Amino acid sequence: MVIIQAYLDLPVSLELLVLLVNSALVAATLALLVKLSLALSARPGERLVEQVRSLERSVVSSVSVLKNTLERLVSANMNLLSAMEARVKEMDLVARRVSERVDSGFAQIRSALASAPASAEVVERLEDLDCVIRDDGLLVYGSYDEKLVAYLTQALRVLESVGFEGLEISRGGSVLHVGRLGELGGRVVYCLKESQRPVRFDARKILSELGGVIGGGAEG
Amino acid sequence: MVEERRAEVKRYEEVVERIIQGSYGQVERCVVASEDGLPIASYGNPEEVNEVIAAIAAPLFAATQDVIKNLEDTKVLRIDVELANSKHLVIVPKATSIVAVLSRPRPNLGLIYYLLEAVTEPTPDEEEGGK
Repeated sequence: MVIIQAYLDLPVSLELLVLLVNSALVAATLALLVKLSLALSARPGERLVEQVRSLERSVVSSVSVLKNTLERLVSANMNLLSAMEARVKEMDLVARRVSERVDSGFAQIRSALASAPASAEVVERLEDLDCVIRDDGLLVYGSYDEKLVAYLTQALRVLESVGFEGLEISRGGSVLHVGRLGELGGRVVYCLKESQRPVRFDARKILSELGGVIGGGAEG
Repeated sequence: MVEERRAEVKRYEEVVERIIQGSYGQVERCVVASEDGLPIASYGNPEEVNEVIAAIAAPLFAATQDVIKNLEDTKVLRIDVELANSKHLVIVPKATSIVAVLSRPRPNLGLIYYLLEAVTEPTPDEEEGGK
């Protein structure tokens, strides 16, 4: 305060003028700023606010759309996942059933294979056969359904060309086993036997016995 | 009379057709012939050969039948003539006619016999006519 007073004491009027000018400039600047501010807030400000609000609305709308889209996407994915899960469960069930059936089939095959050699019936005598036929369809020994023998001979003639050795025919709940015995008197002879069990023919013994009964050299 | 004759021919044509269809190629020729050796229905070309077969088969069967009738007092059910070329001429009676079949070489005789037996069994009409 002492210094100011001292200063004022010397060029008082000049300093006061400078102070006044400075104050006026400050006031003018302030007034101009207020005016500018008011002017800005009166017109462009409104647009700016409106634009900002519009932008905000747009952003909010976009965000809402995006949110909805995301929700739908999630929902769709959930449905898809549910459907896939159901399908997978279904397939799993089917696979399990197939697996069970295959296992059952394998068990039956294993059982059949295991029991086959043990239960296979070996036929080596004429009297154990139902009949013996020639490749001209005539019965050489025994008797059997005439019609079946006639058409069976026709089939055997075809099979003969592909190296036929044996045949099984399921018929009316029984199984007819057909074996190729060999040649007798220039004719191929076959034997027939009905049996539920697997049958193996001892062609050499049967043909030998047959040759003794009807004559003719066995060429099995 | 003419109608009856036509019906008889048609019946014999069906017999021939059944034999050929069921034989799977085992039969080359099939002739149904009357007692006097004339063909009534036939299969196989040329037709002249069928006429020859009819002319041979009918008297052959009739002669054999007469001889057997005197010898054994029974009927002949089938005559099978084996030829040198491995073919067979099989003759069976069918009512008042005969059915003759010429087979292929080395035929399935069982099938031919079965077919002939099946077609030569008298039909109900023939059985009634015979009474």
